[in-house]
Amino acid sequence: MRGNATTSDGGPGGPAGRWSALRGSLVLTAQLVTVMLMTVVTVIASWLIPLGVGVLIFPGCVRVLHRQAERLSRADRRFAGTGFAVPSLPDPAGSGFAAGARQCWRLLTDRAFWQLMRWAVLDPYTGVLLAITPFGYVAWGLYGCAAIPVLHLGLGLRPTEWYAFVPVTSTSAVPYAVVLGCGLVVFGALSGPWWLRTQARWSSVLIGSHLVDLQARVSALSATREEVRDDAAARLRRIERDVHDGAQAQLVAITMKLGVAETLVPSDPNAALALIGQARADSLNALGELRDLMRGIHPPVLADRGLGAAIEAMAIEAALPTTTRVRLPARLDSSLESAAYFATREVLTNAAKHSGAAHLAVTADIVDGRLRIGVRDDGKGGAVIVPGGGLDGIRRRLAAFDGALTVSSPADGPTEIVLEVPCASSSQRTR
Amino acid sequence: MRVVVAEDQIMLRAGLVSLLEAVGHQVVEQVGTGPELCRVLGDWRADVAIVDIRLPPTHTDEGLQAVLAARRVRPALPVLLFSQYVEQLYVRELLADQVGGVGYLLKDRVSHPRQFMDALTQVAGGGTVLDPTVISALITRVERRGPVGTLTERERQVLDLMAQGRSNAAIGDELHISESATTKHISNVFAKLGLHASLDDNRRVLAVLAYLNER
Repeated sequence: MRGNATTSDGGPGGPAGRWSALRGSLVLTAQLVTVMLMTVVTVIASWLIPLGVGVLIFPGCVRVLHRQAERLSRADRRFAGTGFAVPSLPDPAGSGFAAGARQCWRLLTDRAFWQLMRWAVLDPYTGVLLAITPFGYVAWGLYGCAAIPVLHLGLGLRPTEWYAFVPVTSTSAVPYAVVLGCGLVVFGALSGPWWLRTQARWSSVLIGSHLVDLQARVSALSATREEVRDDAAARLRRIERDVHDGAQAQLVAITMKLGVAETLVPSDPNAALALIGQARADSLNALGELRDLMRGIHPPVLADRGLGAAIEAMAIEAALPTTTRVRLPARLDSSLESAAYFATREVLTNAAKHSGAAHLAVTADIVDGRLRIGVRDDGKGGAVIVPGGGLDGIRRRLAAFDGALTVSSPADGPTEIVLEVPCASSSQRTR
Repeated sequence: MRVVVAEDQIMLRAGLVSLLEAVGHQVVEQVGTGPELCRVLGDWRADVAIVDIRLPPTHTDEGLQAVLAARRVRPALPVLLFSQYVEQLYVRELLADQVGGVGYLLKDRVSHPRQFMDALTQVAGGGTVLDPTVISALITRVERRGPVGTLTERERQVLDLMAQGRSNAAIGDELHISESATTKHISNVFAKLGLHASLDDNRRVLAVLAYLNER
């Protein structure tokens, strides 16, 4: 088992202004230097593995290095606005020499470990150069616009012959140095976020963040695919059973009754007539069951008019008085419509059954390319997602569409359950 | 009567036409698609139309849309819609104009030709006819939602038949009760729902439906 991989989403907030970029410049530089030192220690520990000592200390060193990578990623997220995903290492195997040896073997044969080491060896050099740059510009600029005038004009010293390309051998050249220095300070401050972002991206490339993201995506897809497969199989079984026990059985009964009626016609026409009447009643029942079954597979209003109208129809027929505010385009992707419809219906049924509410309110709209359906009740609140429960089932089915279900339900209510599913053409499916 | 039939399933359409002709009606137009239906309704030369909700080319609610559009131009144009399912949303849309001359039945009802023909006659005469499943769904919902005077089994049967557009005499015949008993049941239904009973046959149905729909 592996722990959760840190994802590379840009954290909320982003870079906090130009001047924090300068602080970030120093913090990130310090963190990268720490990485460099830890890497040296880790490499030495690996040399000691054949001597036995390394077996005990190497896994610990790697763990510390891994934690440092996560710390740097957090700092990047804070100062550069974008972090990077750190691959997950195999979990520790336990304590003792044998466990240490096993862990060393597992680490040395693990792709994530080599991704981490590649980053640890290379990133300090490139990263420090990028991270220190904004601070360097500002420091050098301050030297030109503040230190040189003070030294020259105040103390009469000549600490240097050249400031960049400005010859500062005479007092008359000092203003040029001041102008250039100010320019460098401003440039350093303005370009700071860019350097830090570049550093963060470079870290991300070296550690192979995209691979981590892809792996997380692959495992999410495998899990949801399994859900979908099981769900589809279960649904087919249910339909098969319903048809078998319902309409099919009734058709058999109808055929039998008609057969008997046929033989009764010459001898007892009245009994035959009664049987024909029963057969007709049975056929109406069978039709009713087929109708209910079809409604469960694909509701007519959904097929005719799309999700918005179907939600309104659902509200009309709901067990509790239900208001709707629907702002949806006429049609969405049909599989998405169907999934969202059944999820919403389940949430409404749940609310009517368990919330003790007197009214329900359903909203449906599209925000930022995501279909968002909210169901609010004025019931007693305290709803939670119980693993294996109704809400959990809805959440898992929505996961196949990269959807999510969130519950806000304080004690004493009100409860709001929100379903969100991406519905723009740039769906994550093809990311 | 001169009847228009809009139905895309050939077998059902042929069955309907032979049924109509057997009881002496004249089928003046048979159509199988939405656009054809629009043309026929726009150029109205019949007494009543029987329309399937789901028609080509989209196989969605073409029939219903055509009827709603035609009734906006020509209010109370008598149409009997029939379908494999009844949807409350569509019931609301059909009844929204409150003028009658409209029916909405399950296709199953064709299996009782006499009742189906009665319904057709009611609609042609400006009445309102709804499938019993609509009424029972409406009543169930109203009862689930709030404290209304609960209807007795007999009162519900009377309400069902009333919504199917039957007269008091026809309701009495169906339930094997006297006409005065029928009238008593009807006034009970109206009292329990808090409605005025002094309306003519068609308007009282609309009043009951409007009441049930609003709950």
